[in-house]
Amino acid sequence: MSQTLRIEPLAEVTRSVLADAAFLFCDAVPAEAGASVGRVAEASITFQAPTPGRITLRLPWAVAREAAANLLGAEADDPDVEASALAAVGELLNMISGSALKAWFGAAASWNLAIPSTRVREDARLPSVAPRGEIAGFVVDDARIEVEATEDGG
Amino acid sequence: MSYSILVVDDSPLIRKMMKRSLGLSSLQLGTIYEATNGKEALAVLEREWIDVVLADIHMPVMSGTELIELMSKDQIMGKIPVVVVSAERSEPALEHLKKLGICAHLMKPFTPEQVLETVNHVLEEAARHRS
Repeated sequence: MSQTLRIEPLAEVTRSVLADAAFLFCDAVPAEAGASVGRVAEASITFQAPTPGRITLRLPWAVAREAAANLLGAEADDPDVEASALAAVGELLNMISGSALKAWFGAAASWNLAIPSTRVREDARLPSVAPRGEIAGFVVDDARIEVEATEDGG
Repeated sequence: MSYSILVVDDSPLIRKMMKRSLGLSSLQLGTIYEATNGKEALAVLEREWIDVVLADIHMPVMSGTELIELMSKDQIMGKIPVVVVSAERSEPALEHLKKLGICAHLMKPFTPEQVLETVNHVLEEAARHRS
């Protein structure tokens, strides 16, 4: 477990950004919840900072579409929504990362965020099996989502 | 008088959000130009009259910081108001941008109201300086 890239502040920032930016409200994962398997939109961003590392956000495709619709202020059947779903996850991660770095290192620190990379993973399992970093999981509209913090070399 | 705005962001989603937000404005808007990085933005600035630039920081090819540095060295472009729209929260980075003369920093996530309020304010200030 990283002493610097603590998962609690990242979880808090993730909850806040998803609610404020995309009207996605995170609940705790119920104890009886099982794993989900399906199409997942994944965004990952690396950063250079006093402790360098990576943050990864994984949303089921339906949640990614909902995020895109809410960010754009568009109806769910708007053609822009499907086309923007992956970009929406990348942009949400970008927002999360700026606040997470401030929470981890303080506003007076210098850091350098890379550009988020995104990909679609078919038949992906959430929660991830054998993650490289530490994970915080939530439920949004009964769908599992997760955010992961990984220290460089982790 | 209509205002032309340049939105610089590598994310098509953010450019769409910006355009939708600006579309709610009561201001008389002219063309809203788009660029996906600083280099493309410079090309637009060289050929079009732009009243305000809304620029992200972290972009491929040429970052927003590089764009603003180059604009600040140019006699004409240096007078165009720049609003940074970014998730950047590092004080040293924000201080550097302030020293380069940016007019405002709009933090992501933003609301359409914040976009409009910021752009209105910047354009009013620019008009006051001209008169």
